[in-house]
Amino acid sequence: MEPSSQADTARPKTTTRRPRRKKPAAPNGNPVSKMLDSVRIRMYRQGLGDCFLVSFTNTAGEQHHMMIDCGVLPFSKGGNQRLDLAAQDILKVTGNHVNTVVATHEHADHISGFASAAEYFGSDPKKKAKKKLAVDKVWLAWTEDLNDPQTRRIVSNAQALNLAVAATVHGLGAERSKAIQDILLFNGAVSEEDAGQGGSNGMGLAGDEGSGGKFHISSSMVKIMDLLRAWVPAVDFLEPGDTRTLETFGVKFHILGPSRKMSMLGGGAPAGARAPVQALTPLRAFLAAAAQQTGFEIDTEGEEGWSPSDIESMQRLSMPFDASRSLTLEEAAEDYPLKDNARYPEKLQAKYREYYQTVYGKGDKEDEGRCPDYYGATWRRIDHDWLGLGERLALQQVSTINNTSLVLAIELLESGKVLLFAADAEEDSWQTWEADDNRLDDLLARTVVYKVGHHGSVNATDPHMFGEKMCNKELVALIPVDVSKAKQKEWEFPASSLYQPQAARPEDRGLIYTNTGGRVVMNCPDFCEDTEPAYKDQPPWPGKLTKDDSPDRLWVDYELKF
Amino acid sequence: MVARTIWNNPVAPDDIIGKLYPIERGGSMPKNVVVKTPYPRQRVLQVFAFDPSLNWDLDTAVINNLSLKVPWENVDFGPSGEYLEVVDIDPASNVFYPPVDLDDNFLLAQDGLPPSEGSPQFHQQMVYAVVMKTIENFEYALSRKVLWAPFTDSTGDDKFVKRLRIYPHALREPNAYYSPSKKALLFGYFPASTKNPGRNLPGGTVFTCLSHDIVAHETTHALLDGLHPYFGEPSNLDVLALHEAFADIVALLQHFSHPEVLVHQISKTRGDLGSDNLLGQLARQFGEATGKRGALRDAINQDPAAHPLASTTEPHDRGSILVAGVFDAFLTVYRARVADLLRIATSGTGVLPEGAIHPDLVGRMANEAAAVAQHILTMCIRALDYCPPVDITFGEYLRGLITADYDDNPDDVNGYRLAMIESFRRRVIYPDRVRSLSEESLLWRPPDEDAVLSDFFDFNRLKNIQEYELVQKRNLYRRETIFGTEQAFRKEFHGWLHDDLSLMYVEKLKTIDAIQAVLNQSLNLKLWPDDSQQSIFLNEKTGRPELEINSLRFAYRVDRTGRTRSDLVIEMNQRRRGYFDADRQKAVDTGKQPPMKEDFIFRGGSTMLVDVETGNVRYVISKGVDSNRRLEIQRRYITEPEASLAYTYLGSARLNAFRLGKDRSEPFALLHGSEILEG
Repeated sequence: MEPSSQADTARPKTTTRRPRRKKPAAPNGNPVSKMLDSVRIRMYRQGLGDCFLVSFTNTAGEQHHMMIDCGVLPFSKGGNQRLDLAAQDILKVTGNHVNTVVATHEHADHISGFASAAEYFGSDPKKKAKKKLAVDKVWLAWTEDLNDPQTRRIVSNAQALNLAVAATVHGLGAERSKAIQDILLFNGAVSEEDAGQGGSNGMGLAGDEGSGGKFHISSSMVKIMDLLRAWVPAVDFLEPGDTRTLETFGVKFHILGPSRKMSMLGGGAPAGARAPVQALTPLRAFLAAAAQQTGFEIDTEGEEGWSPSDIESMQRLSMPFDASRSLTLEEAAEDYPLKDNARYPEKLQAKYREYYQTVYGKGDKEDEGRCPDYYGATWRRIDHDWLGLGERLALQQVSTINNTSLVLAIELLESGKVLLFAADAEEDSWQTWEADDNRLDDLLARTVVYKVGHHGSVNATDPHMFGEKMCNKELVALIPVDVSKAKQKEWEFPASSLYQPQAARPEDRGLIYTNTGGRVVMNCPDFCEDTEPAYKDQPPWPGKLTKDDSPDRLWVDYELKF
Repeated sequence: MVARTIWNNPVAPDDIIGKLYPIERGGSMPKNVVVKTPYPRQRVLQVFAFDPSLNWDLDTAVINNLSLKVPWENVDFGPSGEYLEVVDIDPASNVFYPPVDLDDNFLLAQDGLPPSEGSPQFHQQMVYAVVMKTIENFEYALSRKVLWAPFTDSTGDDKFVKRLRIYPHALREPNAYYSPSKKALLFGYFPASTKNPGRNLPGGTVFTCLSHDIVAHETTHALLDGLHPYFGEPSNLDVLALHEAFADIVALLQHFSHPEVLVHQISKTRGDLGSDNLLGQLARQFGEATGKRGALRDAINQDPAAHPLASTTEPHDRGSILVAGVFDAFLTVYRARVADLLRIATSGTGVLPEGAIHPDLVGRMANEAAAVAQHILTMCIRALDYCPPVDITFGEYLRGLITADYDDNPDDVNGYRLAMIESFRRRVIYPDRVRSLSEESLLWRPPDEDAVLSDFFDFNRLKNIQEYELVQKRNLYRRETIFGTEQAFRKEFHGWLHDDLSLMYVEKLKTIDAIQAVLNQSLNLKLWPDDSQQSIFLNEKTGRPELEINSLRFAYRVDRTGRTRSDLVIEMNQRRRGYFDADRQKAVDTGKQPPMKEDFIFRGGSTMLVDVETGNVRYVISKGVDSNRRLEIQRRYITEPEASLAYTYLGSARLNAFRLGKDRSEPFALLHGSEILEG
């Protein structure tokens, strides 16, 4: 951890604005000669995803650029082309020098650009960059540090979840697994219908039974994270409670999350109580069955952390009974012809099969015109019910990764204002946030810019913490969401309980609307019917709002001047 | 041996006093010599009293092996019988476990297979026994045969479902549910937690079908669904919670029907059933194995202040408040009833000395506990005939409880109703629109001197109803006939209400508006189109509001002279198109907009109890389809976001339940979907 700066002495006690240009004292007693003049947050309008450039300018005219995420969901129409434009804009604005790159978590909508626009960033050593972007530092959460034992557990858990979900999709077939496949977009999977829209970058991967291929969750996001981990020599892996300071700008960064204590991230387990590698857990028992029974093929290299033989031994271990006590379904479906002199055990064998076939096995044909209680009715079969767990696991996988989000509170020391970048942290994360010196509530109370969590979904803005603690009068919310795309997938982004500006009664317009007084900006690439009015209708804005007026409509700026 | 197939008609046990078997012994014996074998009354089957985890404690192992007596019936492989068919398919393991044959001579001689986790056939036997026991409790309380929810075929016709299907090893996950679409119970199995396994072996297999509580709970879901098809539609906060609560109540109170267990626990707690004990807990092994550090749910010592009804919305959690309320009432009555025993045993002080209490005292207290539990269980089940057919709330259930018990047991010598009201009051469970929480204001009120109703149930109609009852009674043991007869009578009854009722008033009142006004007062049904309520579904052929008769069954009670009386329970409901936008609703209702595709279905309906002997309408319990207030409550409830990622990506489960054609997720799962699966 870096030595603490002047923050402790200079921290304003209230949110009211202090007289300008009163120089705070540095720890060594010398007055600080340079101070923050302005901060500009540029939100790119690439589609459903996050890409922010935060630029600090101090009184000496020096600039410090920080890029927070750069990604778009693979289905966003022309998303990658727009990210390319954003990358070029970043090069232009920063003079090919970004001081800090922050990648919050391993989801396509946050990091896909580091691969797709690698030719501009120079983030991929294999791809030749046209112009090399100089990067001083890369900040990642501790959950990306592969040397960390807890991270390794999270990764292995996520891999198991990935595999279980992929096998479920395979077992259910394309039609029945539509909802799951959509959720998997966040992991970089591309579904067939969207791939045609120019979303595919060759890294996300599609699979479907129709083409004879198999559905597979792509490991592309892991690969992108690898690029980020290798971008600069020393990556800074941050922990909650950590701070970083820019002395010459009067800016302090507080890391609020992800907490190691979050149960979803393996926190709270008693030390030494870890499952041995070969121990059976509910997830592994399901995974083994899903991988085996659906005919899902696992890479022999064991890329996902599981080899076919692992699966086989796990499945053997998770069989509930001794094999001698059961017939396989294929055996049970076979007839068992009896000889004339057949004895009791054979007769019994025949009866077992007869029972199976009458009650269950002959239900292949529809029982039209028959009493619905006709034995073997297809509507009572349970061939796929057990795979229903896969849908829950898909959500659990996405949630786990969301909760590894690096949550950043940027404190502007002199003015006392705070910019909160919540990435995709869900409520579990919010409730375990911690700041240095127990200053969490203080930081929240002084937040004037809130980068809304997870595109405005209902469980990524804690109603109590946000509603009761983030009540600064100058609060502005930035929601990176493409409303039309979300609607198309029937995803509720943003949630009506958070932001519903068109509601007739003010109390129905949602928590974010209420706390910001309607000062909300979204990043739809095209016209955003829900947001455009916000630009003009909600004066006064505490800072300056600018839109890219070029035909590209590439960004929205929000600038605070001091 | 008597020939036996699973296809034969069920035999009514009362019809057969004994079975005559000719004896074949050479040719010397005269032909007319027979041996008379009494027909068996019950089948004894061994089960776990709770679940396998109790066997690991020396203290509880002694009571965990329970011999359950279930009504005798002809069974075949499976077991499959009159009500059930156990089909042991395990798709996750791709295997079929051979079915147990309970009529195997060896098994008959030793009360079935001995309890064992490693034998799938024992699992089949145990689910069969526990489900049959639960069915028996229902039939005892309702004095009629239970029917499963019908299967609705592609043409919309309801078809009889004879057997509930049971899959003991259907899922490989910590869960179990009753599937309304498959009319089946699906049980899961899973490895116990490796982090917090409780007393389980970490990673050892836990079977939900071996938990007495879980089996009883899921069976109750199925039974309730058969009785009240619309109690699975979450039109308000209480509906699904009531389903869960009711299932828990049945599972909980069944603990008290096992004397060995009861005696053991009373002895252990020295008669204080309000202290920690097995009887008040549900699914202990499951709770521990999923890392919850205790039973899945616990009805004892739940502090009402710590679980405020107003802020508890998840159905299982909300339901557990009601369960704790019922259990509290049980404790109150039980304590009152053993107070004299304690005084006798302690020379009047009522304070027990240190140490174990006398076995005779334990026995007497166990009897009291069993009697109280049985009474409350019966009360809770009978209340189902006194509920509105749709949109039930806890408060209405309380009124149903009180009225049902009042009808059966007018004097309330033991204070059951008083205890119940007090216990609900402590949990802030209040019915809507009652003047006070006194017994008389909670009783459903009979319609006073209602000319419309008394004219309607005239001599001829009453005769028809009595004939219907006679047919149903004669076919007491033929469930399919009971079902078919009811279906036919529903059509007839529909005609009475829909056509005849209005005709009765045509001459006198002349206009439809006047007729509707008169009928609405008595019945709270919309029988004619209403210009201000045009979102109500109309029948395409007749152009008049849809009306579904969804039940015509009989409830029995004992009147003050000790005579058994029967009431016809008529349940009717109607549908209306609901829209998220209140303005649009208004526009459609007033006819400014044509009734476009609805956002959700809104239901109203009535339950009517009619005395079969006199034709008196005893109660009309109605929730009108025209209530805009209820519509607004439902609209708010189903559009309210739930704080979960599932809500964002998959949409609202509440809402999906009201959208036709939407794939419904299983509404009665043991665990809610947001639980994290241990990896």
